Amino acid sequence: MHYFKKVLVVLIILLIPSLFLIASGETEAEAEGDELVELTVWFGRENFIPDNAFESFHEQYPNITVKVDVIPLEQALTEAATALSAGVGPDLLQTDSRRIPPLVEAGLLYPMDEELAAWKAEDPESYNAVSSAGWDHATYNGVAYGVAIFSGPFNYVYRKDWIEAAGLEVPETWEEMLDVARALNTSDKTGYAVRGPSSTVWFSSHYMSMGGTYDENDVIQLDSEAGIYALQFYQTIVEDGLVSRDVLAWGSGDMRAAFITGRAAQAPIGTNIFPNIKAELEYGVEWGASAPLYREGAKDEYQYASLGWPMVATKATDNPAEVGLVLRYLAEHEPAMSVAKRYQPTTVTTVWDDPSYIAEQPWAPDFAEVMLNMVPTPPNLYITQMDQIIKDALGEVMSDMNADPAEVAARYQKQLNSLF
Amino acid sequence: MKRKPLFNTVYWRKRLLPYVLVLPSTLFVFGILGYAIMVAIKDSLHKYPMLATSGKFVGLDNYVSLFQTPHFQHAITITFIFVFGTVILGLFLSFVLALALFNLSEKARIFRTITLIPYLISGVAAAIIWRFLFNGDVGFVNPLLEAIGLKPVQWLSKGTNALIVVTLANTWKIFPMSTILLLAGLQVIDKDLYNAATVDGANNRQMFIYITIPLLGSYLATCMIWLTFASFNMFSIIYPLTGGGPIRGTEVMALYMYRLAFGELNFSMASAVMILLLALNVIFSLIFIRLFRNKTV
Repeated sequence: MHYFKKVLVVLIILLIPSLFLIASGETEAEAEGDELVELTVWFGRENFIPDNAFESFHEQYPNITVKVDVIPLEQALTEAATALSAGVGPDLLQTDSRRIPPLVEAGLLYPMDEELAAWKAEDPESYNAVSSAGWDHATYNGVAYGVAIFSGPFNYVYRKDWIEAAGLEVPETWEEMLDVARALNTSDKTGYAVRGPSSTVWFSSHYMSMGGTYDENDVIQLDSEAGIYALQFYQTIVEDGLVSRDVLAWGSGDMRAAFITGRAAQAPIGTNIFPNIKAELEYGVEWGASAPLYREGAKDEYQYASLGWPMVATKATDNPAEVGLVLRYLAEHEPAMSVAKRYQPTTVTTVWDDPSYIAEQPWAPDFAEVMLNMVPTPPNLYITQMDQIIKDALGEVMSDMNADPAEVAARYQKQLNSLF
Repeated sequence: MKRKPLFNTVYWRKRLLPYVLVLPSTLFVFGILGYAIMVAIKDSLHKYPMLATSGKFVGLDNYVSLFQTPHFQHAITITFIFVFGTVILGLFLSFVLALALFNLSEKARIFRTITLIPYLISGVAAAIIWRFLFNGDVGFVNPLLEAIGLKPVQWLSKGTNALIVVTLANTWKIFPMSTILLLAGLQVIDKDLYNAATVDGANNRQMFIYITIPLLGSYLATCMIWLTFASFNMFSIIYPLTGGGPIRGTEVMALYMYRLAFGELNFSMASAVMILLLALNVIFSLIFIRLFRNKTV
C-alpha cells in the first residue's frame, strides 16, 4: 500500500507541470500567429454540403474551424431570427433568395460588399467564375450579403421519342407546346404535366418566360399582357384536358412522377431532377430538355427565371473576413462540382464544361450558354402574401372554365398592389 | 373545536398526500403550458414588425382584423365541418368497435392491440397512405369504383371531396383512442345490472339505452373532448395530405395559423388564432362535460 502511495504522489507531481504545459501550449495555428476562429454555417439541405465537408478548407486555414449544421430552408428564417435575437445565430446562413428581404428588414444580415471586393481583388479568377445569377441572388437593394453557389431554373422537358414518332417538331414557343400537347394527349397519358395552384414558383417561371415583369416593388404584374396570357395558359391546359384531372391537388412529386413514368409528354422540371429522369430514360434519345419556351411575339421580353439558395452572412458574425474565405471555398471548382453532380446546378461556370461533370450530366453543355442569362425570381418582403394571392388567382382560373383571365387578373392585381 | 394535527397519519394520507403527489406534474404542465399561453396572449395583443421580438400594443386589433378576413372566416367554417364530421363519425365508429371488442373472446384480444395501430402511426405517414389511396391517377380507390361500375371521383382536386377525405383520414387516425376509452368504460359496468334487467324482462336494446349509455356518460364526454381537441389542433395529416387545398378547400384554423406564423412571419396574428383555438377547445370541453355531468358510472 505504501508503495502505491509513493507512485501516486510521483504521478501527481509529474501531472501538475504537464497540465500547465498543455494549458499554455500553442496550437500550430497560434504558433503561426493566427487567431483561432470558429464559424457556424447553416446549410439549408444536407445535399448542399460539399463532399469533402470543409476538409481542404481546414487544411488551408488551420486557425478556422467551421461547424456545420443543417436547418431546412423552410425553417431557416424563423430559426435564424430566434437564434440571432438570442445572440447565438450562425455566421453564415443558407436561405431561399426570395426570403432575403425579411432578414434584411429585421437587420439580421451583414453586408459583405467589402469582403467580396477583397475576394475579387485577391482571386479574380475564382470570383469571375461565378455567374451573375450567383451574385444577384444574394443581393438586395444593391447590397451584397453573400453569394449563391447554387441556383436552379425550371426547364422544359419533353418526350423526344414520342414527338418524333408523331412526326412533330420540338416546340420553341408555348403555343407550339400546346399544339404538341394536344397531339400527344391520349386516354392514358397527358400532353403536359404541371404543378397546379399549390405552388407559385412554376407559375413564376412560366410567367417570366412569357415576358412577364415585376414592378418597382417586385410585385408580379398579373394584369399585364404576359400575366393574363399566363393565367389563360393555365386555364387552357385544364379546359383542353392536357393535364391530369387531379392537377389542382398535385404536388411537385406528382408532376415529376408523371413525366418520369411515361404518363406525360412534356413538363416544366428543375435541373436537379434530371438525374432521376436519366435513371429511367435515355437523354437525347427518349427525352430532351431546353430552357423554358417563349411566347409568340414576346421573345424579346423572355426571361430565364431561376431560384437561388445563397449563403448570406449574418449580424452574429464577428469574423466577416473569415466568412468571406468560407464563401471562396464553397465557390471553388471541386466543392461546387461535388454538389452540382448530385443536386442543384452551380453558378460556378468552370464546372459547366468539366468533362467529369458532363459525363454525369450530359445535358450540361446544352444549358451552358442560356444559364449565363438566368435571372432570379424576384425577392419580396411580402413574398408569402403575394404567393397566396397568386395561388388564389391560379386556383380560380384552373377550376372555373368560365372565369375570364383578364377580369381575374385585374381583381387579384388590386390585392397584390394593396400589400404595398 | 380541536383542530386535527397536520401530519396525523390518516389525515395526511387521505387528504393531503394526493395533492402533494399531483403537485409536481401540475406545476410542470401549468408551468410550461401556462407560460406558452401567457406569451401567446401577450403576442396576440401586440403587433410585431416582421421577425422582430418586440412590438407595440394594439389591444384586440389582431382579433378584429382576423374576423374581418374572408379567408379566416372560410377557415372557421371548414374547421367546424371538419371537427364535427370527425366527432360524429369518430364517436359512432368508436362505439361500434368498442362493443365489438368488448364481446370478443379472450383468445381474440389481440384485436384490441391492432385497433390502436392507426393512432400509433405518425400523422405524416397516415397522410401519405391516404394520399396514395385517393390519388386520382394512381390511387387505389378509383380503380375499385370503376371495377364496380362507378365513375372515378376527383377526390383530392375538388374542395368538398378533399374535405371528406381529410375528415375520414383524421377519424381513422384518432378514433382508436376513443375506442379504447369506451372499451374501458364498458369493462367497469357492473354485470349484475344487466342480470337484474334480464330478470325484469328487458331486451338488449333497452339494456343498451337505459344501462350502457347512461353509465358510459363520463367516458363519452372524455371521448368527445378527445375527438374535438385532436381535430381542432390537427395539422400533421392535413398539411401533407392536401396542404390546405385545393384552393383553400381544406384550410382549417390550425393550417391557417401555421401559414400566418411560418409563411407570412406574422406571429401576432398567428398567436391570436392560437388563442381562439384554445378558447374553442375549452368551450367545447365544458359543453361536453356539462352534457354528461350527471351520467357517470
